[in-house]
Amino acid sequence: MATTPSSSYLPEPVIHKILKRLPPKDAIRASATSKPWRLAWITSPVLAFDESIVPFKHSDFFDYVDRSLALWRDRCDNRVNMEKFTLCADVTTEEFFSRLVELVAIATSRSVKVIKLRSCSERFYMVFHSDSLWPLLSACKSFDVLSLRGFQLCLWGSLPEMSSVKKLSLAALFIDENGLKNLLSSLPLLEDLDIGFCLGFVELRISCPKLRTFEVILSENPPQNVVINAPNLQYFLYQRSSYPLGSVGFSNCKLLTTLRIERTEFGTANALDEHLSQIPLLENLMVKACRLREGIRISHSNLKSLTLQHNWRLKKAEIDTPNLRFFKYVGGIFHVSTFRYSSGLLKAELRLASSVFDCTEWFWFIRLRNFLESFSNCKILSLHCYLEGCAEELRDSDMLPDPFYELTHLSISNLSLPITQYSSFLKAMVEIFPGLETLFLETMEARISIEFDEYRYLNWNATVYSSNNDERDKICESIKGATNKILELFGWTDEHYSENESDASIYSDLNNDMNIYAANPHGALDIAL
Amino acid sequence: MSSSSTTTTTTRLLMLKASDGVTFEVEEAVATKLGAINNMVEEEGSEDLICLPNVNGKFLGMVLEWCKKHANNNTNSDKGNDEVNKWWDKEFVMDLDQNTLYHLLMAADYLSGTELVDLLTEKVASMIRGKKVEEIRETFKIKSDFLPGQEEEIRKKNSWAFE
Repeated sequence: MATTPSSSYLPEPVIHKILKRLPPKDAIRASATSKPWRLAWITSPVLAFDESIVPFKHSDFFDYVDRSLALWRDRCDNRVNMEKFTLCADVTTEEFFSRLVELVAIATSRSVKVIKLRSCSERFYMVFHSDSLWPLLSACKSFDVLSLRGFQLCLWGSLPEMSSVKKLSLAALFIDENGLKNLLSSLPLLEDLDIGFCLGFVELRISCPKLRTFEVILSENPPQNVVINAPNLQYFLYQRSSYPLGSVGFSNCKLLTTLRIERTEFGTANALDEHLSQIPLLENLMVKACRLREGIRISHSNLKSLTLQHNWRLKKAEIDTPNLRFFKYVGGIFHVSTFRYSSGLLKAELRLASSVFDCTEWFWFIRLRNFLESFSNCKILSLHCYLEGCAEELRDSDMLPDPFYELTHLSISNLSLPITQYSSFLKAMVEIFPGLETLFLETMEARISIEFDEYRYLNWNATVYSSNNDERDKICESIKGATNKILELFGWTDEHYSENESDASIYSDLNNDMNIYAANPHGALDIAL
Repeated sequence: MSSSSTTTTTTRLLMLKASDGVTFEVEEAVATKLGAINNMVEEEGSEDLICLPNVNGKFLGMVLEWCKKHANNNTNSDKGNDEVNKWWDKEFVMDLDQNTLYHLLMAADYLSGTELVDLLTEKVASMIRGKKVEEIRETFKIKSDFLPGQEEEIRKKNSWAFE
C-alpha cells in the first residue's frame, strides 16, 4: 500500500452507491471523470428519472428516459436485474401514460424489485382498473415495493392479484373507498402500508391479514375515519395534520407493539384505556394533540415508553404502567393522580411550555415543585421550562419550596429576561434543585451550558448572539458574573475552579457568534456538547 | 487459545488481526456490526482470532470505533440516541481527507459494514455535488483514462449537465 490508489479503483457496486445519492446532473458529471465511473453510471441497477429536475419536458422527457434505458439495456444483458425503477413525469395525456406503461414493461421484464410512479401534473391523471398497467404489474413476480403518487385511481372493478408486493405506498392520490378495497384485496401478502394525504374516501377501512406496519397521514375536512382489522399489525402511526380531530377504530390488533396517534377523538377519559386493554403486547405509545379535556387514564402492564405531547388543556392523568422506562411529556402542568412506573429505571423528559409559566401566576414554581414529586424515583429526569417574563417572586428565598434533589438536568429558555437579571433567578433554581448535573440557559443574548462532571468540577461554555464587539464584551462579563454566582451557590472555592484568563480561549467564528471556553483546573478545554 | 469457554460468558471477545499485524480485541456484538465478521462468527466452530489481510490496522481501528459507537447505542431503543448517533456520524466524517476516506470506504465495503458504507458514500456524494468534472477528478485523484474524443462525446450527448 505504498502508492496512493485513486478512487477510480473503487469497486463498481460502491460507485453505484455513490451515484444513486446524486441528482442526475452531478451523477453525469462524475461519470465523465473516467471509464470505471462512466461504466458504473450506465450499468447502475437503480434507475430514477424525474421530469421536474431535468431540462427535458413532455415527450422530450420520455425520449430521454428511452435513450437512457436503451444504453442500460445495451450494457446489461437479460441476466442483469433492475433493482429500482423510479419515474416522476408530468402525465397529462393518454399518450404519456402509455409511454409510462411501456417503461414499466421494460422494468418488469428485468425483474425489478421496487417501482415508484409519480405524476407531477397539476391535475390528477385518471388510471382505470382496466388499464394495461395492472396486468403488467401482476405478471411481474419479482417486485415487492409499489409506490404511487399524484394520480386518480379509478379502480371500480377487481384487479389481478399482485402476490409479490409486500410494501405499498400511496401519496397525494385520489381514490374512493371501493378503489382502496379493490387495490388492497389484490395484495394478499401486503406487510407494509403507507398512506399520505390521499382523498376521495370518507372511511379508510384496512383489513389486511399480513399487515405489520401501517402509517397514515390525513388532512381532509371532515376527517376520514380509519378502521383497522389487522391481526398481525405491530406498528401503527396515525397522524392528522390539522383539526378537527379524526377517529380511529381498531379491532383484532392483538400484536400491536407501537401505537402513535395524533389529533384523535376519544370521547371519555377511559376510552383510550379500553382500547389499550385489547392490545396486551403494546410497548410504545404516543398520544399527541388529542383533546383530553376529561383527562386521560392509561393502565398497561407491558408499556415501556409513553409520550404525551401537545395535549393542551390536559387537566389530570392516571397512569398505571409498572414497566414504564421512558416518559416524554410536552405541555402544561397537569394533575397526576397516579403515576406508577418502573421505579429507579424511568428516564423522564418533561418540556413545560411558556403559556403555563407566564409567571403572572403567583407561586407557579410551587405547582411545578409538586408536579415533579411524581417523578422522584426516576433514573434520569430532565426538565425544560419555557418561561416568559421575570420571575420576581423567586428573588425572595423565604418563599421557595423544599428542595427537590432528583432533578439532574434543567434547561430554561427565557427570551425576555436579560442575562444580567439571571443571577438571582438562578440562585432560586439552584436552591430548589440542588442535585443538578447540567444546566442549560437560553436568554435573548446568549446560550449558556453548565455541566458538573463526576468529580463535581464545573465546565461551562457560552455562545453569544451579537455581532457588536462592545455589546459582546458586556454580555461576556455578565455571563461570567452569572457563572461566578453559581460557583458561590455551590460553595465552590479556588481549589475546585480557577478562572485563569491565560487559560481561557476565545474563539470567534464566521457568524460572529462567540464561544467562550473556561478552562477547568486540569487546563483542558471543554468542547461544547 | 482454547475454544471451550463459551458456556456462561455472554460477551465473547474476538481478536481481529489487520494486514500489518496490529490486533484488536473487541466484543462480538461490536464486531458483528460488520456483515463479513458476522458471517465468520456464525459459522460453527469459528476461531476467536480473525485475520483480515485486506485491511490496514489504522483503518480497521477507525471502522471498529464506528462499530463500537453504533453497537452501544443500538441496545437502547430511545429516539434520542438516533440524534446522538447522527451527531457522532457527522463528526466522524467531517474532516476525513481523500486518502483516509478512500481506505475507510474500501475497508467498510470489504467488511460488509452496510451502514458505514452508506455514511461514507453519502460523504463522497456530498463532496461531488455542484463540482465540475475537473474538480471531481482533483478531489478524488481520479485519472482520466478515456480515449481521445470519448469525453467530448459524453459532454456533447449530455450537454445539459455540463452547463
